[in-house]
Amino acid sequence: MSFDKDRAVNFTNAFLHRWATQLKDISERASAVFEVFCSMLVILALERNGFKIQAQNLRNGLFIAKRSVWGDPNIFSFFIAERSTEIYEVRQNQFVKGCHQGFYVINEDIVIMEQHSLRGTTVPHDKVIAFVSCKHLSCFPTIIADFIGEVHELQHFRLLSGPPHQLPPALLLTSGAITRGGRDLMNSLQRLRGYNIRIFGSFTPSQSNHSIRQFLATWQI
Amino acid sequence: MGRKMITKTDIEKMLSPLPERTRKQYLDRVLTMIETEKEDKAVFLYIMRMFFNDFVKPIDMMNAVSKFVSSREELGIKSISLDSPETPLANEEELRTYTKIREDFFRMLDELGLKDEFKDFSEVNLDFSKGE
Repeated sequence: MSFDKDRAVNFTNAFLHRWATQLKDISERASAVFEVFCSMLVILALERNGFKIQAQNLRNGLFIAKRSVWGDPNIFSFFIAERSTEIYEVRQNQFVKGCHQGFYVINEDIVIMEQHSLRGTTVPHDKVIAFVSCKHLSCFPTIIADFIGEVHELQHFRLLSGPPHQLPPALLLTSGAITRGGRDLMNSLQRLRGYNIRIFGSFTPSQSNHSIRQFLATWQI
Repeated sequence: MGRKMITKTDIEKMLSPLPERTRKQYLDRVLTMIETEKEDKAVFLYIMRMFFNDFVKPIDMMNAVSKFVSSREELGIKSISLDSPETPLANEEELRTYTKIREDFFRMLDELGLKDEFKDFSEVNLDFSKGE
């Protein structure tokens, strides 16, 4: 059967008319929703690694996720993850102080850090256990290169080859698929160069949930 | 020969309900697609993929977050908001509406003969168990 272009135009136009207001609201919140979704998956991964989770700074049962770089992290909600003597805070949109000369901070979408390690609004890089960059985009080489830049400025030891790394890998999670170039670069970084990072594309709910299942099965902390 | 080709006018008409800025972004991307792709079906598939990424994926994520939170009563979280209590991630009424949008989207795909391209996303079944 041939594709009826006019019918398709009318159908699509009707769909957009029917839901115009809601679609605008959804698309404006999409990247924030992705960050919260990724946080939830990180919490699930921590649980599966034996951590007990608590929510902190709730306001009448409301978890107020820190959505932007602005604002004092102390007034937002966050999670505590505890396993034996290890106690970490899991915070969203947290400034991390860089590891090279000079005072600069870089905002990371999700940061797993030692408890009580906030200094004002920033956390020192050596108190960070792992961090996650979440992008509601396809995973193409430029996105990966940006992420490697962040890793270099915050915890450059993750880019050294040699003995196995002690910390869990830093993560780049993208809602879109990994492009061919992105996959080649990812393989080079993870397999050939042995960087202490992991990249997961198509990190969204689906029937097979392939990427999410792989993340939950392999990201050890 | 004789097959109608989708035109800029078609796309403008189709996307007219979208806000100005969003419409312009979509137009730029789709017009580039028209210039390089001759099959109408492929152009529509591209448009549906954009809709899927921008609208349906966030709906699925909101639903997943909501289900995760309700499966963890011990955390004491009743709902999630973004930056301030006045900006809920999605309240129950919104989630119900969004579910209808999702159904409508997949109905549209079915009507256009494109549903198979989104087979892996027609249902979502995340496992929230803590594992052992």
